[in-house]
Amino acid sequence: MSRARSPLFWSGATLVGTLALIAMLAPVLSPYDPRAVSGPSLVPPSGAHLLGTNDAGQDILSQLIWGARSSALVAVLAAGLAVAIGVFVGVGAGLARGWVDAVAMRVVDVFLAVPALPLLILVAALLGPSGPIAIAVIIGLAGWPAIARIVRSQALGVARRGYVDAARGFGAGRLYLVGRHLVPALGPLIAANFVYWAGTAVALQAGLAFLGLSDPTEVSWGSVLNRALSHPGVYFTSEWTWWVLPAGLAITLAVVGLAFLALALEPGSNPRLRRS
Amino acid sequence: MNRRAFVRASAGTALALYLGACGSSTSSSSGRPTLRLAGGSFGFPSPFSYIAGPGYVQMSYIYDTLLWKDSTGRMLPWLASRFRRSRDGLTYSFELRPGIQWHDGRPLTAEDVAFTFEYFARQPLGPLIVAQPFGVGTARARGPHKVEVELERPAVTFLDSVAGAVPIIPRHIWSSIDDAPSAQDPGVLVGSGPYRLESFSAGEGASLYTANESYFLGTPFVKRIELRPVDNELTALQAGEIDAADTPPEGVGEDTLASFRADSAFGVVQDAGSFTFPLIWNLQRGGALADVRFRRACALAIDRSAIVERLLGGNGEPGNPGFLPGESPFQVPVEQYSFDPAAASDLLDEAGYRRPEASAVRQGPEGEPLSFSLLTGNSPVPPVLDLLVESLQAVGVDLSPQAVDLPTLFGRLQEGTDEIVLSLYPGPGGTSPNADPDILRTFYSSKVEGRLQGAQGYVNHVFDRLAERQLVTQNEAARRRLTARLQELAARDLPVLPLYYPTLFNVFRREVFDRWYYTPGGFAGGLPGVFNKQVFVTGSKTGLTPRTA
Amino acid sequence: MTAPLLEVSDLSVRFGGDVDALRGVGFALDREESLAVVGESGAGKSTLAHCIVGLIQPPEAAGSVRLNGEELIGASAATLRSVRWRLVAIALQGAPFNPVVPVIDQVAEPLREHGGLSSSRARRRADDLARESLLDPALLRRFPHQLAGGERRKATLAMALALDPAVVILDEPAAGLDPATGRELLDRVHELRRARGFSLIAISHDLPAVARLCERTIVLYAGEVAEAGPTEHVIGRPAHPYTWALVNSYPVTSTTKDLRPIRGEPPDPRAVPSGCPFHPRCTQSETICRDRHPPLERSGGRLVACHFGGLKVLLSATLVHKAFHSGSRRLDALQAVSLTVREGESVGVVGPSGSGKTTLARVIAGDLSPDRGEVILEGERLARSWRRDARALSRRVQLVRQDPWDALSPRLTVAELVREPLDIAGAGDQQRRSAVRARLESVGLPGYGTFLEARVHELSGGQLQRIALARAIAARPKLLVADEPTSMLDASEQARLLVVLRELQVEMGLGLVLVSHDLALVRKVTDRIVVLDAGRVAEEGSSAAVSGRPRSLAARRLMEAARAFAVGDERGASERASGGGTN
Repeated sequence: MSRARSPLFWSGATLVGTLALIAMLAPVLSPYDPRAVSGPSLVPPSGAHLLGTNDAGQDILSQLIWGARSSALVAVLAAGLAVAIGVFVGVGAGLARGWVDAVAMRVVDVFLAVPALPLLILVAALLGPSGPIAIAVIIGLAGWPAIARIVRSQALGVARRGYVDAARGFGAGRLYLVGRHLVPALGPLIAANFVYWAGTAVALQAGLAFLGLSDPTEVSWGSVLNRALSHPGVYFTSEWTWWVLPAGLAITLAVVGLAFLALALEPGSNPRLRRS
Repeated sequence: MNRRAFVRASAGTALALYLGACGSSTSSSSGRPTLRLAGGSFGFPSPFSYIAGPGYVQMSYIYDTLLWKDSTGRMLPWLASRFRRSRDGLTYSFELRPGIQWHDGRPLTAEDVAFTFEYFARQPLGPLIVAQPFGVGTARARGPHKVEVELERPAVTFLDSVAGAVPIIPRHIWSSIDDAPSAQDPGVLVGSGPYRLESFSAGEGASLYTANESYFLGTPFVKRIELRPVDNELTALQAGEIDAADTPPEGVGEDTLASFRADSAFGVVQDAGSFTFPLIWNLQRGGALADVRFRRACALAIDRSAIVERLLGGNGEPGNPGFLPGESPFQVPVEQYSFDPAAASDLLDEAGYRRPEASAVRQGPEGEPLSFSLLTGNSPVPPVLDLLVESLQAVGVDLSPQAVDLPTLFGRLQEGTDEIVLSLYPGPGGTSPNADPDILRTFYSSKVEGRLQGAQGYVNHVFDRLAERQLVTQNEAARRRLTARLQELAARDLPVLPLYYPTLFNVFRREVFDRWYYTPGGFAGGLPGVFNKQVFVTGSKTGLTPRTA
Repeated sequence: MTAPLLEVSDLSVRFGGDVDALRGVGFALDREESLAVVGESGAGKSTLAHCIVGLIQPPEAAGSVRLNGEELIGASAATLRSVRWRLVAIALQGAPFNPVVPVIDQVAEPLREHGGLSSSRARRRADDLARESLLDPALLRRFPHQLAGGERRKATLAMALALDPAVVILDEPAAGLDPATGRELLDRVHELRRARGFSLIAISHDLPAVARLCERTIVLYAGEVAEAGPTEHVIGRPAHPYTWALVNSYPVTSTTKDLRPIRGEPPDPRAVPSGCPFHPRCTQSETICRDRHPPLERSGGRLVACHFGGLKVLLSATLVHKAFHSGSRRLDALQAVSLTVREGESVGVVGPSGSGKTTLARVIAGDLSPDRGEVILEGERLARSWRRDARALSRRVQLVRQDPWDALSPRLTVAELVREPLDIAGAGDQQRRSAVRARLESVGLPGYGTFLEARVHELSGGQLQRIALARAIAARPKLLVADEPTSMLDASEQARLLVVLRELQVEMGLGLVLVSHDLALVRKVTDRIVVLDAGRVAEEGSSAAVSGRPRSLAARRLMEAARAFAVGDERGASERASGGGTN
């Protein structure tokens, strides 16, 4: 790909790439087992604990590094699921038209009318605390309607293009059309939505964990925050500087990085096509 | 009253207070203060619809009881000027003070007291209504100011948890109300207490109580009590939004308190043993959970002293397998299961829970892994959770924690189907030198029904019998012997292991009010916290006489 | 009921034991009838003529030739002598003259020998015959080599007419003559026939020549009758694919279309293909054509030896209605439009902008479903559906869209675009690669190198149009619907593309519907033209007729707008064409 990229894209890609690398290399990078009591409680940053320890004596840096992994997992799973369902429904509705389209879009409307975060909280609370995969599934299920709607409208446009009719004229089936024409044509849109929902998933996961609605022993940025903010001492000491701030920063950077990427990938912002 | 109106109102109040304080800055403690305290959504403050302890405290500003405690932990004559107990302990007769009036001016009579007991018995009330006349047979008015209460059986706790806890309600209001919990019109809140509800916003958790100037004990010292919603009491205190703040019941380390201790504007009072984190195995689930050797091994694997030190920097006490905290005069030495992971492993091996390989999860005799779900609350998740999981993992026991919100937690505790539970328990009795050891019965006995928290699936008939006997005995020494036996049994059978007792603190602004105390044994049958209305009424830690401004 | 004058039935001729010259030919000719026997060289035309005059006898010949009730196959020499010249006379193609005898003596010979005339009277009569045959009698005194080809031909005609036979057979009557002379001669034959009342059999590969002369036509192919019937049917609206191809391969002024050769080679008479002898060259052949010999059966006012009754109808659209709705407005794009395209036929659809051309193109290509009416492609109803059989059918008709930027995905390379139909059809990889190259080269684009990797935005409109055509053809359709396929090409590119299309039509029997507003272009390519105006068929007819003498206002306007180097020539040509053979 030699598409001319904006600074927005590069800053987003750098942030996301770095965090992805950290997530991948977590076992190597992490100085301690994030769950293990590896030092005294609440020691400030030092050589032994670069970001200090929490009230249980767990190494905060290690928790943040492993938290990146949890966030990455949720981001990829949730966005993947949301995009997969969204594209399936959107493209299916756009291609089928008629009553299938109408029914699908009514369902989407209903889902869209329900605000995502409260729904998530409700589902998470009803299902009980859940691990990253369950959270990813919930977020994915909350994300697909928006994607389905925008994908459908784009798919309708693409399906009207002459080259799609031409492929039908060659005897192409639905699968072929979707795989060869619709999905590639929707590629930038899908990519942007994927990244957008990855960012949303990171934020929502952190939010759920922060609200204590995730698996309490799961190491994630949100749970670091949750633990930190339920420790009364962070409000009265400098503990917040090494406990709250880095976790908040990690979430912010991930969300901002993904948002930058999503913005840069937004089809409207870069209509140029690849040149060979 | 909506939120904005309330904020404006409270801002106005604050301004007025500030100006007032300026005007009499030399003797702010001598003026009648307004207290701003943390509010919260604890239900409509009627005797039938408040929610749990904090809700009761608000309700107690409006309604009085026959007896009430002060900082000595002694029962003071409140509505009743005196009482007599029959020799068999079955009959109590109370003499009401004369001339007490309801807020609407009607006289409070023995009829009202008798009606209260009878009316309570008619209402189906959940466990969140903490003050109910349990064990009361009949109550009869024996004259305009004399009431006789007959118990179904003798109970040493009657004075504490019934006479000192059940709010007396006006017959002329409630006799026409069938469904008491749904009567939530402010008009029904006619009490005899030192305060009236001026405004109330259920959703916001904000309310304003103003002094009942014609209170029978005299003009209440604290003029107004403003309850306002805050996120974090300590930060709100520091920001000057409230005048006194409880530390969270999970306990705090010195890191939290240091800044307040260093500032002479703040005072701190403390209370040890009002809460505990009991680890409750559900014996009903069978398997290893029903195996006392497994439970003992778990106890051996958990370094309770280290946990207190690590999490609270010593602001707490390691859990006692006999349940009662160290301050309790009823506490007797029991088996401590002091931290010994090697012994824990040996015990598990011996009991047939073997590790297929080092550092693997142990397996039971049928190859089932020693893996259990652990139910706990999520507001917040107990800080000890990670340490607990790690401790047991070290000996090959695997826990999968599940943190749920409080209503869910209590609902599931009622169902009693979870394998292991870790929850904050408001007991076993506070700092009281007189802490009532009946807590052993209510927490452990299989005969007690409908409790919110307690041992799960523990059935020991010997324990149950002894627990019943200590409740009815009138002999102090005999009761000590019985409760000692109960503690030994509790420690031996170990259906519950208290992990630690965090120390509670209340931090307050001296300038506004500085007579805060923790009621020994709690007030109204064991409520922790400093918001005992005795101090609001009198402005002193003891007695019944209001200070005058 | 009397027997016909000449009745040929089941006539077969085999030379040298393995050369099948004629196989089961049969026909009848009555008095004063005229019959053209046409076919390529070697189809058995001359052999048939020879049989009729009794020149070929058993064992080569089998079957029956009855002339005036008398069987000529196997007849005695005396019988034959009595019949020849008097009953049937033949004007042979080659010079039948003795080079050392003056022509007049040879023309007079049958008069002397069979007519019993004296030498002098025979000569006088010969002079009369020469005059009747438009030959100067003075020329008769010459030796054969002193006469020009046309003069010799006239002399043979005079000789054939000598005894006033009932049946005259002319073998290639106009061959070797300049057009004016040939025409003059044929016209003369026509007049003579009218005057004398003889029956005529004209044998020729020159279709226009005999079509002008004869009421009925027999088309011979590989010694068999492929099609027989009234000339206006057989030549005017050929039914047999061979006749169709034969007609198309003649340069005539009655069509405006370019020539199209017949694909393949005429069959070797030693090894005539099994089944239908034409099937190897036929564009619509199926298995049955190879396996079974088609009987000569009545079809559309003539006899056709084809399993399908002649040229298949590729596409028939019947009373198609299509309306578009935009908000509350309703636009009737097509109203009761019918269109038929036969195997190998080219049909032009012309009309002004907004007349519904593109809608019609999309409807007949299955791209749009008609609101009413139906579109039948190769006998099956064309419907826009995801069903497997419907998809397979839709592959048989390909639409080349007007806007190549829309019709070609911007994400695919040239190679991917051209191979897409093959990908969808699931062709083998090797096949795909070679097809890509072949198709690209057939439309004049490089089939190799970096061009294959180019994408839409890098190419010109003309290149894109050719790619669109290439991929449509790669799908191997039977019907190609091309909507302004050359609008972005310059004249020479356009010409080249049209040649490609013509070759493809020959090669594949491709039906072509060419949609354009450019009548000048359309008339060069199509057999018929349908003129659309405001969603209705304003006019329909042969390309020459529509472009030459447009009847509808729409067609006239289009014709006026069409490019022309010299309008006068066009007029003249069309008048001649419409005047038939009378001027």
